[in-house]
Amino acid sequence: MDKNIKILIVDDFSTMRRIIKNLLRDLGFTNTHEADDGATALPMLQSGGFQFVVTDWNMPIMQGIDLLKEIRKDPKLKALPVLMVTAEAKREQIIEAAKAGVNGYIVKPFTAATLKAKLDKIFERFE
Amino acid sequence: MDDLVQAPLVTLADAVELVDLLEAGSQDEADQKVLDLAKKAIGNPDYNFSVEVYNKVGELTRDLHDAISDFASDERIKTIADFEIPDASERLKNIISMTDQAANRTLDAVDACAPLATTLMELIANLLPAWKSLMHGKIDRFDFVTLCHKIDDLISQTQINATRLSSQLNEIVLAQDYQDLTGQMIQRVIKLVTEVEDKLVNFLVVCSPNRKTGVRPPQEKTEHGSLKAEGPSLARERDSGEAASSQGDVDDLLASLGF
Repeated sequence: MDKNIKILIVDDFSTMRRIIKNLLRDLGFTNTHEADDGATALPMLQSGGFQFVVTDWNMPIMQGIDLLKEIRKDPKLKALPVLMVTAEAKREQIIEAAKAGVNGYIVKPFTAATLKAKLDKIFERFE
Repeated sequence: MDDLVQAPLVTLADAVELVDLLEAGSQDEADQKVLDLAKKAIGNPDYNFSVEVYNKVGELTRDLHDAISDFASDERIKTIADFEIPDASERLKNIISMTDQAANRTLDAVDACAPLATTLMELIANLLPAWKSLMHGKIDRFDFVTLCHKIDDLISQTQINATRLSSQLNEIVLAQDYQDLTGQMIQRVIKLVTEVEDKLVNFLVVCSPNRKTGVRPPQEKTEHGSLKAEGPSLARERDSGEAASSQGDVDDLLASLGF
């Protein structure tokens, strides 16, 4: 697995971005960037270079689920792996995310081991 | 109510006449016919229901009027609206910033500890080969002196770093005081919300004596038509199976969808 891939972390709470950034760093991924909602994230992704997205669901302006749908609609971004890390745990929400093409779904609060397991699974599929 | 059937309110002849008028396009005359029938019924002493209806409407109007004026003149409600709700919003905002500070304080402390652990690992890795030689009794005098210097380095470096580590751990402990402080603020807000809820329920009971417990509205959608986020789930939702209660549940659900 290429540990230098460019990762975008999307969450409106800076501490959660920091936690995810730290966990990713511990797993060897140091090329991480941050956005505080879907509307900020989308232009960053469109400007190119990102190979992985970790996003929250509950954010102002553009929610994570809508960001995911926008990514899947965009011909240049549609193959980008998206991991959702969210407190949203309703069955219908998880089903909606799956239908929208999410690559992994982690419910908060989560552990470093869960994050690692999901990343491994996603990259296994992409390699 | 038996006397209601003594004379019919409307006869077949009335109905036929009404249909004829409507078919002929005489809307005004048809309307007049309906009014005449209604007047006849209200004026008929056999039909005393109108009095009942008037009384009931009057009673409801008085109750509603009383409820509104009680509600409007309740000093407590004025205090709640003018001061306590704004205070509660302020408290909730405070909670966000306090938890934010606490999380950052903790993360800062962890960031400060991480290089201490790295230094320790590096120092040990650095002296390990010479140390192993010593343990196996295969070390020359020169290497032994070098090893002693390395161990000396490790001791002095670790002594300083252990003090730093201990103070950072202390910092992490102190950062947890937010739990107590935000807990107290949240309890005040809950108390206020409960009081407002009670007052609103009283008001609703007066307005609608047969009020049934409401049905939860369906989940809201975003402007893009996706389900709106609701934040962390409640125990009620997890117990009913509406929300996943663990990562295992989420994985099972996704697996059942062929994920």
